[in-house]
Amino acid sequence: MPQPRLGHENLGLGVGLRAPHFTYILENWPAVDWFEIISENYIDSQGRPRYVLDQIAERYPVVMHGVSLSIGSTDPLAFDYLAKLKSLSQAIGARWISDHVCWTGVSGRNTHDLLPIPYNEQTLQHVARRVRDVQDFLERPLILEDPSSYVTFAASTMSEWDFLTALTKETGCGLLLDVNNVYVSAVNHDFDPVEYIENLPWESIVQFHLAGHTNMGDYCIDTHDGHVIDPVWKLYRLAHERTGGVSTLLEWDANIPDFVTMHAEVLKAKRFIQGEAINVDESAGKGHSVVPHPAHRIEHEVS
Amino acid sequence: MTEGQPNPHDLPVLQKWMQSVIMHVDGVVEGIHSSEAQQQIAVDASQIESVVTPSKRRTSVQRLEVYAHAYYARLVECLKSIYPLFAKTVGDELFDQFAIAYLQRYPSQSYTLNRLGDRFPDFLEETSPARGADELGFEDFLVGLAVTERSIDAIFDGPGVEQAEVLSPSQLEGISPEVFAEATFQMVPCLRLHSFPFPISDFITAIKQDPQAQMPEAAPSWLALTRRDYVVRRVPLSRWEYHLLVRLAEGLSVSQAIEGAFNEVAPAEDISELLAAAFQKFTNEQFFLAIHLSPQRREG
Repeated sequence: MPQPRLGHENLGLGVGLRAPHFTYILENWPAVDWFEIISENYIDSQGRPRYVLDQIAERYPVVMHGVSLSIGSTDPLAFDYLAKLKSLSQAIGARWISDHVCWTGVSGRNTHDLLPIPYNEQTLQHVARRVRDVQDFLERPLILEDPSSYVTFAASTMSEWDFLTALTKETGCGLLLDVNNVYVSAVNHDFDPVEYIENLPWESIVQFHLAGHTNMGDYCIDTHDGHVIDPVWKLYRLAHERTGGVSTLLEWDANIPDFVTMHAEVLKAKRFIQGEAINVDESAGKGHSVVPHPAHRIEHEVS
Repeated sequence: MTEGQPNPHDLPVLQKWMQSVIMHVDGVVEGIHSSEAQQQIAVDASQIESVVTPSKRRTSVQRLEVYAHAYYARLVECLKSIYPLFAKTVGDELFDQFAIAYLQRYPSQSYTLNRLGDRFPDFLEETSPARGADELGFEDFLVGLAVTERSIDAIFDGPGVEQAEVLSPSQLEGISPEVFAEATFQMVPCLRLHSFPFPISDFITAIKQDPQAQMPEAAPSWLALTRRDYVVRRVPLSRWEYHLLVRLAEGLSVSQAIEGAFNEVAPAEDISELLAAAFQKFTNEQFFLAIHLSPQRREG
């Protein structure tokens, strides 16, 4: 039986570090519990993004969250990429390194999307082997997130929650439970999100993600472009109760508001856990992005 | 399915199939029927439920379309963030056409989106209808703009000198003309030098103020791009300054660089004044990391 949160501290309520907020953070040092970075935006940076990150890492706990590990791909693991992850994690004292249970490309290509895998024994053994290799290389447990997805494969023979549970048992990896992804995928795949959360190995959950999504009517897209809606908050409360509370992070990647608004969104979690109601309904499609995340890139500045 | 075909439930087969389907520029159905996809899983769109199952409210094809739509939409947006002024200049519709054609020819092979646009200027040159033409045209202007934006993007997140000491103007004082003539310079790593057949930097200034700015008349221009305080700076150069800097960046001595630059451009002004002004400008703009003086000459 693993320790709760694999022994990791509950860092509290954090937000994703996004470039439009760099100046505000450097000027105000807001009272945020912790930050999560998109690893790929910093592992090569020798410019302002890395400078800002170094300043932040001196003052706040930082977690690295990647989008290109492609742990489910049948291409070989990219050890040059892993070496960069490891090097940055050591330089900034990252509390943990996470990515997604997905693949991003094959045959040397990267779609820069988080593509789903079929959930079956063959995939489980393939992914578990790669997770072990990555963990050996990084010399720390990998934390893996449930992806939001839009297709299911005829080759799947088990549920996503059973797959994740088996993966944690096989490898000792941790889970990053994206509560919004559970909701989005539940709508898209006609499963019960409560059943999903009830059947996860709660001790292995190290972190939660919260985010907004776009309801397209007959399906949902994980767009990270707005407020967290009421049904997602309810799932969050359930997950909080089951785990006893873990580090919680709000992602906001499109139509990014000012920092104060974004921070206020994650602070709702504290009020919600204490029993306060939050009523945010879904507004189908209106004013929302219709492209699933990620499209993570830091834009340049030129005089 | 045909005997001898790969097993559609095998993970490598499924991944190669799905990738070729969602990356197909004409959409999911065309993607399913493409030879690349058929080599992996020989199904047509009507049999697709044997690979991707439907949901209660969405067909298998509709479900795949979410990924297919997102693939180009996401990456086109990303290219637009690397080439924002180029996109503004050509407009969204034409930019999307350029971007989609580029992504088909050069799909991403990197873990980072920062490398996505690296070959875009080359692509524009390769596919230019005016390639090889004698007269300068819109395509040549666009290539110059794309080259500039690629440099800006690379400089923004590449190596810089914010944490280093660069050569100051005062460090050039007191060096005898003989010693200075033999000196070489180490340029800052964020310096890039460009020569264009159009006034690209002037156009960038114009379009930042007026999104409707028109393409300028052809006129040669020379530009240094560098970075200070983590912001990329544009420094227009004269032709002579450009040729001098290019040679200094190649590691030639000051006298060799001057000679080479004069071979390109005969100076109309007083040479010593021109030189003093040029090196004053280069040091003020922090183009030099260090100066290397010949030990023998320095001692002598």
